[in-house]
Amino acid sequence: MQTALAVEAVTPPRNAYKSEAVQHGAIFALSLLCAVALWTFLAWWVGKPAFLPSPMKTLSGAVELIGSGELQADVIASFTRIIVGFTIGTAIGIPLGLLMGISPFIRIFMDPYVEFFRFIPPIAFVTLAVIWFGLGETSKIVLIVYTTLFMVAINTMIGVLGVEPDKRFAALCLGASKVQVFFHVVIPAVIPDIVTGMKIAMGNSFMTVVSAEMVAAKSGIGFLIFNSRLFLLTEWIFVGIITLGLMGFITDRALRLLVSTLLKHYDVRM
Amino acid sequence: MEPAVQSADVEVRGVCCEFLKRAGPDRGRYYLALDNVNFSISPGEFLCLLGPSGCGKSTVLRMIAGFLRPTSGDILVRGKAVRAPGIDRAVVFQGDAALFNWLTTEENIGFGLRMRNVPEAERRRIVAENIRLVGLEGFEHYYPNQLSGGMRQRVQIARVLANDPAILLMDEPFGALDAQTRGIMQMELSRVWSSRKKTVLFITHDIDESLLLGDRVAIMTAGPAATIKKVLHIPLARPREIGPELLGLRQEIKDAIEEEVMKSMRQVDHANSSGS
Repeated sequence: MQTALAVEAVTPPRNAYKSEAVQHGAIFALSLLCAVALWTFLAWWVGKPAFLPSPMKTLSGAVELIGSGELQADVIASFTRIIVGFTIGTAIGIPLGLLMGISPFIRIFMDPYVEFFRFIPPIAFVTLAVIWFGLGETSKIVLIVYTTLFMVAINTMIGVLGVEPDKRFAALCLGASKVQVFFHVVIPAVIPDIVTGMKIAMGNSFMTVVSAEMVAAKSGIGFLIFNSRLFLLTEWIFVGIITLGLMGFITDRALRLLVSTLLKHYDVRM
Repeated sequence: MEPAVQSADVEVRGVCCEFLKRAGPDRGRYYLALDNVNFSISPGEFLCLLGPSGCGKSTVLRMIAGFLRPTSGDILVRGKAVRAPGIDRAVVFQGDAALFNWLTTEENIGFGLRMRNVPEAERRRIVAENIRLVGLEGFEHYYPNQLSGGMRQRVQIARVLANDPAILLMDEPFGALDAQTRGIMQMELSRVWSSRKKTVLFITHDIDESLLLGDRVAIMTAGPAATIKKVLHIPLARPREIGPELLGLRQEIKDAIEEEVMKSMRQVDHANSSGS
């Protein structure tokens, strides 16, 4: 942080970056190649496609699933649930966390619930969610809201409690009102913690949606993985798992891009 | 006609400060940090508050700023009791936690004006003027973490000057800077102060710094129950240099501080030996 200027002063020549990126890409490709080679070897060695399908068999499974439109439908179903639940959870979690941070009353009032529910994974609520909200979208979305809300609220609250008192004091003696201190000092200072909470919540949302879809759904990647088991279509399970990984990767990149364009001056560490 | 009564800008009268220790081996016990502190600062005067570390200098400043309440005693700013922070008293903090790291130099300096709804054009003018005053031209659009430590302290100084407060409260503003930068910043502050003539309370533990900057130097005793030991006048024109004419005063301050440091070390020894 302190050496930003010094770092700029010793900036390497422009093409150094380029060759570094090329190197990076080469190592990345090598890593993928190794994984595929190992996978191919293991599949050949085991020799039972129902136990361990080869990369080629998995690829043909993917082509099959994409051709029938099933994979796209499942991806959209899972993504929609995550995005809706995550958005609602964040929209409730941020104000709740801010309130818990600034008001000792609300913090102490909420504390027993936060400490209690924090240790109950959303999966534990799947059956209850189905009983209460049925097999439709609501039950899945409620579970994602639940998992997101706590993570975002707790991180936001910790952030508010960690704002340096001198920042508030400085604003107060510069003429800011208490309301202005909240909006112009506390909220900007807490943004990195909010993003941290959102990142963890996004990971949890993936876990939640998949487990909920396995138990109670007619669509989604979790459903695809669980349902393929019935027909011993192991390659479809592989397609589902790889798709999940890619979805997570894309979501993380999207979040990073969003943060680095919208919030680049808020010291957010990704 | 009667001569106009020159009332003090800041008056600290019989201030005591007691804390309830919330951590450590003395948890739950009261600690008397300040005991009957008295001093005043006249309008336009530069007062240095000098004392061994941990004696409660910052506590005094924070009470004048309105961040803390004294346990007993009064703090008057221009005749009125201090109840809360106010724009008549601006604080330059130790270190740079008080800067808004999501705002540029320009935005940090304009923060107070924006909060007070000063019109845009006027705000720009004042910000530009203060950027020039502290020599930060060219760094208007830099963020605090892209600036050096000395520059960040300049941003803090410009930020409070932009608000045009009557009283500047500076809490070891150059304490974290290297010796060379500190020397430059002291000269710059002296120059800025000469052109703006604010009432200043400047906290430091650096004897030479207090000699270079202060009209008067108030020396504090070591805590607990710290108070003002003595106040010395420094009747020299600025810009100053540590030269022969300051050596006598310097020795006097040094002796006073050393006495306090020795006293506090003896107290620690005593506490340790009686504790075991």
